[in-house]
Amino acid sequence: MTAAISAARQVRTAAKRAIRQVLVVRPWNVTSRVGFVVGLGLLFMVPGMLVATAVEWGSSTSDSEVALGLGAAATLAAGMLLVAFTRLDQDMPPASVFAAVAWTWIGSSFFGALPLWFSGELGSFDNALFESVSGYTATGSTVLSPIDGVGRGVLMWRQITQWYGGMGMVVLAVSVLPFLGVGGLSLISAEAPGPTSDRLAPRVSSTARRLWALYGGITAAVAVALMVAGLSLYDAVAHALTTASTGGFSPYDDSIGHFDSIAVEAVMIAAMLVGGASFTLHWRALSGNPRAYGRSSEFRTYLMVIAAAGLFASLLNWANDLSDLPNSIRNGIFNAATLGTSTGFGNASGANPGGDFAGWAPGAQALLLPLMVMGGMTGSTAGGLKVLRAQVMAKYMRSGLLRVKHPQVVARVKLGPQALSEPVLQRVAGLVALYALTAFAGTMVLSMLGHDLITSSSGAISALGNMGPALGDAGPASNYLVFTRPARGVLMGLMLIGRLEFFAIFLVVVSAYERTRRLARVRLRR
Amino acid sequence: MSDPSRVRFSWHRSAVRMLTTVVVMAAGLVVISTVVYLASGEVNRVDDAIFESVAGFTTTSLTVVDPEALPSWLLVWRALTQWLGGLGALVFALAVVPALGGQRRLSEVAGGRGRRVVLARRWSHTANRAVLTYSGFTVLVAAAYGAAGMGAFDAATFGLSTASTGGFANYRDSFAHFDSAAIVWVGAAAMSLAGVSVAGLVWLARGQVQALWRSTELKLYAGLILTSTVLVAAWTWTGTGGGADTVRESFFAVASSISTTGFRVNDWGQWVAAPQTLLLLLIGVGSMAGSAGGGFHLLRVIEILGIVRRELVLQLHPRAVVPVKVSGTVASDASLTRVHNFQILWVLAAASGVFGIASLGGDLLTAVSGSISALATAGPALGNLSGFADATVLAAPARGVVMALMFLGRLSIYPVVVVIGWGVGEVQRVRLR
Repeated sequence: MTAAISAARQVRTAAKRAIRQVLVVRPWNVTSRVGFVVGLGLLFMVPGMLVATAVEWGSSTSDSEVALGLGAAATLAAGMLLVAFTRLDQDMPPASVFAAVAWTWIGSSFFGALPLWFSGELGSFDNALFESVSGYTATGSTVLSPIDGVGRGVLMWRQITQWYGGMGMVVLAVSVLPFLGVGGLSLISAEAPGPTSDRLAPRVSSTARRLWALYGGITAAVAVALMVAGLSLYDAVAHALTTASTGGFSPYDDSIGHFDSIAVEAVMIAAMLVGGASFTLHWRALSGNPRAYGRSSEFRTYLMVIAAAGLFASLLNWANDLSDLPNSIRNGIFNAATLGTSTGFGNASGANPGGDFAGWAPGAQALLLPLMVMGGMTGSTAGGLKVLRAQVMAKYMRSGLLRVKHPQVVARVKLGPQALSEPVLQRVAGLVALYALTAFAGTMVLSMLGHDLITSSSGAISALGNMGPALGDAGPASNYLVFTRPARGVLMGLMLIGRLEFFAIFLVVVSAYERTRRLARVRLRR
Repeated sequence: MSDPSRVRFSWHRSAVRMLTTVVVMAAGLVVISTVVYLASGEVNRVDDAIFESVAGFTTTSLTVVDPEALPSWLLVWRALTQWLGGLGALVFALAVVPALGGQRRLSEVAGGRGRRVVLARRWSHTANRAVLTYSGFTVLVAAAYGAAGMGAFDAATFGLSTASTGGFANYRDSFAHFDSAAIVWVGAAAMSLAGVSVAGLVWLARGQVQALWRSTELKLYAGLILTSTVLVAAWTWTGTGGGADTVRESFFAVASSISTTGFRVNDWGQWVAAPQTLLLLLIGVGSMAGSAGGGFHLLRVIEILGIVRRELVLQLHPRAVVPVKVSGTVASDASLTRVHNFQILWVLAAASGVFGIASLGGDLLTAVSGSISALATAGPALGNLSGFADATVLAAPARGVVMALMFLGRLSIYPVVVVIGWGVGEVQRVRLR
């Protein structure tokens, strides 16, 4: 008896010591500032959840409004607790910035999964979490099957998660923090996709507000255009939410193929291209400078690559007698746009089987792979490596070749009027290498979990680029239930890593390592 | 008056001239070998003869002929093309590249820091020593094959195609033909050594353990072979019956892949996905720089890992100065730039290869794996190219793409690109006149 008590005491002291260590050292960088940002992010999710609850309450086919309301209540409570008990300083060291972003995304994904889990449509919690991560990262891979017949409110929440994720919860949080200085800008750039985040306004918080206003405006415009093309209000809003965010969730099993309408597809192509283009450009164009588009070489490359890949793929499919020329072009352009902007809608249906690129000519499929790697423009809602980086790398390579030929030459890599310095180039190249290494590691782990090479490599690339559909077993007509449960966990990680462009997630791990090592060093000194 | 460009000493002229010489010599060897194949009467189609020659000189194991139907003199010639190809690759890496102004290569190829690792003061001496080492290694491999129970003829030809990481076999089913554990062990060990840089082989021969231990690349190479063998054996344990057979065949497959040799002892297309992906990754990563093997080369992989690490640290500590180290020496900015450029060229070439093979007949799996394997000058791949399949499973136009990939991969891409770019520029200049 006494032995048991003393053992219990020992366990208690050990636990206390461990807790104290975690609180003092905070290996995962969960500081007060970080908690505040996470809490704000959660609070911003509540209105979306309430909208979904209202939609569910208003729809006659199902009644999961209690589940959705409970999810909203839990999120509200957690958000308020976090904001009440934490404090935000004006100054944010880099480690805190990355931790804030990473934890906001992990926290949002977790709480975003609650309504889906409570509704019971997805079964286990890990499926709900997958759906939520795929939603917030604007990926669009789904484990919900069948989708038709699920309550409208639950489906609407899926769409809304993508809308939040497209622009980012941290940007939303920053928009209400007028006192944030330099730390605020680094928060935005740690979350926003792309190497540069231009200021749209002198103040960081107004930059964030303008980004969100622009985003909301584009979403509304897409919804109106879709209604003009013949969709109902619900369908138009649901698809506008996931198009502007280049997400790709659809409340139908056949995705866009459900409508089988060329007009709808044309509107979607245009809307996806807008979502995948830089929001800085949009802002400049809307503030009276429409030539900004033509002047951006990234924008020109972006359109040309998608158009070229789409047309070549169409021609290859046509040459292989897979469908007639007009249909080939329709499907080729649609799928090039949806993959080139990392959206991931499908337009295949019973009436238009040619939209499923898993059935395309192998050469046409091979053309889609570079699109999947490249993704959209910097400063857009799209994922992937970004057109700008691909451009920089291509120019870097050309200057390198020039230097082999003429060793004394001064070969500058120019982007627009300004020349990029060697350290900048090396950092872009370093990120590309990081992308490649992560994709290889993901491929290796997925094939260890039993998936063939094409499925695992395209699945890893697709998750890392926040695309959605992949090749092989996970084609557009399939869903991510083909992956085993552990593999879906890996894909979740890849989606988050890809959406936050590596650093936020990796650095939480790295700084945890650094901190524990520092602790060990301090101990040794004592 | 004489042409002023002839009077002035100009670096770029000599660089282009040197690279052109390399490319033209490689092409010339291919032509000679093509003539030999056609003259022998054993190969009837010109494109088949060219393919066989290119595969030979690029030390790739893809073949379009039935080796068991060839006379023995032609088998020797076939193995000899691979041996010459491996020799050419060594001379190119150890002599031509440093002479082009990449002096850092000399010490890096040798694998470590300081004066000690330089094989010789002058690059011509380096080349001589490399040739000697390579020849000696070939003789040793052949002798080991003989001791393991191969006939004298087989031992000689397999020795030539093992030391060069070539992979041409005298039999349709490659090493499975011998059905001998000893021969498979010797083959796996010899292939592992063939992927070691020449400097590493010299140290090994001299017993300079310290120098060996200092080379990050060598440690990585050995570590990769060891862990991959363990992993492949574990993954295929139940499928292949387990025991010493599984370990031996896993070791063989790993050594054959990482050294980009391409001998086969079993059909890894039948395995589960994990070892397939791992072996393909090993083929892509390839051997050590300064060996006869192909692939991306471990030296570059180490540099890229260093760059990635630096990128992560710089995000946390934006003003830090983080050097990228290889074997204890700091890699120069210029060398990192070269690695980046090579990385892009490699990915571009592989992606074009995938597109080319896939659109000219070949499913996506064959295209992806075949493109990587051809660019790494290995040979074995997945899909239609898995197991003991030879290149005849591909349609003739797709074989043309494979041929181009092998050629690019063997010459580490940029000489070919530079020469083509220079040629295009000259043609344009002539037209302008």
